[in-house]
Amino acid sequence: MRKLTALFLACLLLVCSLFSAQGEIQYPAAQGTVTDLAGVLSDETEKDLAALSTLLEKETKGHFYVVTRHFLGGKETSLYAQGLFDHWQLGENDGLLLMVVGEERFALFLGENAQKALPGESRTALLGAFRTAYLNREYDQATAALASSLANTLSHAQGKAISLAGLFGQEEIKATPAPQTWEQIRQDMSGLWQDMFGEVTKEAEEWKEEQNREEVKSNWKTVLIWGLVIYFLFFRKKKRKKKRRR
Amino acid sequence: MKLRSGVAFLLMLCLVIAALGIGAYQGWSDERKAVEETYAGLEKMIQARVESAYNLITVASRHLPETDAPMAQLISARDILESNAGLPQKAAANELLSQSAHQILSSLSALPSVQSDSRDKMYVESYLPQMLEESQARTAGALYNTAAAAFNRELEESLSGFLARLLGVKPAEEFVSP
Repeated sequence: MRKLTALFLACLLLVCSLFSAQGEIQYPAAQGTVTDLAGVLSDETEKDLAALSTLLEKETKGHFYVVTRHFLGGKETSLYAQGLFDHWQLGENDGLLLMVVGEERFALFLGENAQKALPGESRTALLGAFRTAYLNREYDQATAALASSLANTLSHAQGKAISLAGLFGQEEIKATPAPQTWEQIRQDMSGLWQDMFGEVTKEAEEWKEEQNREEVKSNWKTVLIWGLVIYFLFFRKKKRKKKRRR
Repeated sequence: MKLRSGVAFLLMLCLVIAALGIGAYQGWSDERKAVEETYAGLEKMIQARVESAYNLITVASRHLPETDAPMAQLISARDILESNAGLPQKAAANELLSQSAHQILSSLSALPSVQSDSRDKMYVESYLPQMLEESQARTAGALYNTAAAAFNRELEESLSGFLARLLGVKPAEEFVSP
């Protein structure tokens, strides 16, 4: 009975793993604090976000990550953000902001401790302010404001304070200059598809060669088996006859 | 003694036929497995086509009415590609996806709302056509298509293939519209 149960569980596990492998989502590799796949953030903002994340890490042991993409190809934004958070193995004090630029959607996913520090109402207020700038395509401004507020709230929750002096050009936060940026993105698109669709695993010729090698191996096996069959059927028979004659 | 030789000959003949049958069956089954192993690559490319469709629908829905006929076609093609339909149906849906996507992109390019929006203009004129073209080229060039066609041709033309078919080896499903 135990064996049967074990077998059943093993089969169940196999089936589950097959299904999960089929629906597997490919997540991008983390490129540091900012993974700007859509190319909508300025270099200054990226640098400042990295500096802010380092400050946050010192005070709260948490990091803040920003990811931008053009589209998600039908995937649900918050689920994707959660999946990415898990895939990158982010911690309880960490936060992840996902911006899906072409779909005009975004999601903020926080670790367990960070969630406690930023309960529902505060988060709604924070994201409300972000949404307005985000939908106006002021990505630098939106991200800077959200990251600053989030860092302040998270550090306050632990009875600490973060100085944002010198970050995000306090006196002037530049909005993304749309036409130039989109033109730049258009020009930088050459390597995008290789990243998105992955390497072509095997070329047809290579595959055919491999198949031929396998076939040659298999043919040699067949020749060997036939050789043995003929040997036993004929030569052994002749030897027996000779013995009988003697 | 004559009878015993005859029986032995018949036995040998049966063994030879059985060996041929088993060999053909095993050989062709292994080849079919090898073809099926390449299916994952095609599936990945079909998924890329589905994602392209989703992305185009997202952009198009900002500028075109919901009743737009090519949009309805694109949604239907995307749904078939996402379903468990057979490969011939998926191949037909893939062609429909290309046609409707082309029509939608042409309509979008002509719209003032797209021309005045630098981001969507970039999507309509560069990003989406490139993604559709790239995913289409990779889907058409997927190794599975070559492998399945070659397998079916050889299974049809060779004697061992004939034996294997008699013993139940089925041709590989091809990604070709009916």
